Amino acid sequence: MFFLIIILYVIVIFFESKSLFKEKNTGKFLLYSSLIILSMIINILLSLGVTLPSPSNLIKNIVISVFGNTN
Amino acid sequence: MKNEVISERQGIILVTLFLIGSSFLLGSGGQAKQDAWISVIIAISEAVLLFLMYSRILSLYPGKDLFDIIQILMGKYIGNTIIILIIWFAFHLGALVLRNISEFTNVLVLPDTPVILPMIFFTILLIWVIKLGIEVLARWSEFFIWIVFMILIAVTLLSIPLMDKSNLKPILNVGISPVLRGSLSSFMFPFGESVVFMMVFSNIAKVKNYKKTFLLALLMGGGFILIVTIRNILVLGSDAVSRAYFPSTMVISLIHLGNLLQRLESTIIVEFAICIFVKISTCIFAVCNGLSKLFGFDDYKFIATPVALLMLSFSLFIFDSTMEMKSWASDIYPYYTLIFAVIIPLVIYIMAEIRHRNLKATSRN
Repeated sequence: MFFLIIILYVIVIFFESKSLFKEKNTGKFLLYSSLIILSMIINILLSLGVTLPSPSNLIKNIVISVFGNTN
Repeated sequence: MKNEVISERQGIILVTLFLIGSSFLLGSGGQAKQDAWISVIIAISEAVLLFLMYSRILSLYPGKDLFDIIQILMGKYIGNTIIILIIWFAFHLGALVLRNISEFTNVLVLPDTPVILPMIFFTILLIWVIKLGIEVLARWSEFFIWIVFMILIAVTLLSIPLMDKSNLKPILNVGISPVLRGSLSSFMFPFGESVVFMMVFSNIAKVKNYKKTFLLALLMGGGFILIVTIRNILVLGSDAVSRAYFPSTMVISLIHLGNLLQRLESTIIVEFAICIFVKISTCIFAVCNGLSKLFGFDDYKFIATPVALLMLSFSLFIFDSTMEMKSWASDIYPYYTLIFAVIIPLVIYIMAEIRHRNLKATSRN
């Protein structure tokens, strides 16, 4: 499964970074590649069955500490 | 979004579809039980004030969106921190809405298909529309809003024989406090979420009148949400509404007119897909716009693919189950949105107003 994801990502990166290379804007390329590599890592971890920490629990704790118990 | 131009009418339609969005399916103001329609009315009247504030902020700085205004008002360091928080809010909102539609497909539409499959195609469409720009989305929605209107009116008219007006009674029998709590949740979901539009509307063509755009859209979207809420309560009763995850589909599935008109749920799926599409793509527009403003680029389209894919993967692990989604949306979500939809814009509004007065005073001297 994760081979499939890697192949798909390589295809997407290949087609999208072509135009970015032509522009020769390093900042854009860095932002693009960091974002897409982050999403690739998350998707590979998900396909391997890793349970990632959900942000909703963190937000829940923050909201409860600010507003008190909300139910 | 410098050279992109949408007309006022298209702006109204975009905000209307955004407001109808997922609240059409999930219902609004559920804590108030049979008095949910009162809380929706209270929420609409609160939202008028909120939208007046938004349009005032936007019209003080014509041609600029929320990110520019924050950078002008708060400087580099504090401004960028707040921009990062707001980008996170838009991103999280998009992931939540994507999660809503994936739960909906998983529970009701395609129960045996792995949920990632329809979502991948949905995400490809989202990436496509963002690459094309907001003008295309606006023109697209100008056509599709008629489908939404027709379906909504037809389905509501067809469900009139099922209505029972005793479901609305007793009115206010447990006091005002659940109504107010329901009005808070209805105020934040969907009306408060439209703070996302402040990050997108940098350039409505030839229009200084943000007020008209926001208020007309509120009138249409809020009116439809009110109609849907009252219809759901009248047909199902408050108990069934609070028990069902997707009350609107339950209402539609009850419609039987002979052998001819049955199983109209597919209409609601079409409608939901249209509204959700507008909602998520607006969120992605906001995120891309904010990220490109934060790092100082002039173009936002080049990060469309990574942002949409990240949103998709976030939507997969953000909740464990439908039950968690429902409880989070009703208990935590209104308070979380309150920070981004009311408190931060209020601070910006006060700062902008003070700065505007100072500028006027100095120019007079």
